Amino acid sequence: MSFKISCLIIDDDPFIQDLLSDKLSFFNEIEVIGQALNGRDGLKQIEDKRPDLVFLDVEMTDMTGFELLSSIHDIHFKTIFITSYGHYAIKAIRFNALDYLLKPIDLEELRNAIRRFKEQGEKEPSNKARHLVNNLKRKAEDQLLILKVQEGEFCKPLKDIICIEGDRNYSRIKLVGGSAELVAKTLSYFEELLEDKDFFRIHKSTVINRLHISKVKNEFIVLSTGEEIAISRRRKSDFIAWFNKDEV
Amino acid sequence: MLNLDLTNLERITRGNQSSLLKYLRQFKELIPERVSQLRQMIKEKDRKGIRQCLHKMSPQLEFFGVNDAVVLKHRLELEYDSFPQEEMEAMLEQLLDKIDQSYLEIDKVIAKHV
Repeated sequence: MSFKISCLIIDDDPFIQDLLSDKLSFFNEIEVIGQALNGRDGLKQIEDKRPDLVFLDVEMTDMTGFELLSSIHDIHFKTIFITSYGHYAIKAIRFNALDYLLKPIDLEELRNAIRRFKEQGEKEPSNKARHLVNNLKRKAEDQLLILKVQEGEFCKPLKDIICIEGDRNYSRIKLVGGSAELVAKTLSYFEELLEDKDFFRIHKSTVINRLHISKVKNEFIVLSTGEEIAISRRRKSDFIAWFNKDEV
Repeated sequence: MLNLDLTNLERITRGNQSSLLKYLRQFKELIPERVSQLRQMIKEKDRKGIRQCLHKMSPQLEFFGVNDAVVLKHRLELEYDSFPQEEMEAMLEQLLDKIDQSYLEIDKVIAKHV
């Protein structure tokens, strides 16, 4: 007997519900065990049916997908968000290394998301949805940055990140205490992901954390480690504006 | 067909007539209410409301090949404050016009499959 992944779809749009359900029927290993048209019904079905995987709409009429997760004590399932929303939701999802699909759900993207779900299941990662819920309650500096890395998962509070150096397709995250983590992400990825978390790209190969700037000299900044980093001429006025603005 | 592209519909329904009709009828059920909400938001010049309406209806429109809503939605996301009102309203009128035509086309497709 083959193992099936039980899924629940929570979305207040009946069109998306039907579309996703029909697309999931292409996958033999998936069984849709329920569909909910609002957050309240979704919560009830999660409790009653205990699915392995929940496809969760970010923005519903009665609550957001984030609020729904926040109200669950034991998040025993994995989550794939579904959204047509732009920046704010997708950023929060990516920041917590969670998965998402954009409406109206491309079959190939769905296939990839299911493949990633199955891979994650084998490696038993920490509960990312719980991280997201906790991160939403924390101050920016205490939030945990979660990244998939070769050995599993990188998970550190933002306040422990001094700076991030880019080297083509890789970035080196320099941490308090002198250690560093090499990750297969570009510096532009971090620039965008962390721009509203008080990080700034000071020149083409470095993103710095405001918390670790100990001094600003004319063309340089001095980090808490004593390291001096040049401020790019092109970015200098933006840097000054960013540095002088109120803390986030 | 002038406005509709049924490629996505045919791909997902894999020749199943009842499934095909389900999506077509759903379009007829859901879109008018959303269009009327959008018209109200345009009247009130409520940009946030307009953006929300577009977000709500764009997946369904995109599925049927009416991509104007997606373009507008993206512009409203990127230029929320700066998107000129007149230009936005003109684009919305064009979109509503296209939706009206699509709505009539859907009727013809339904009639062909019933």
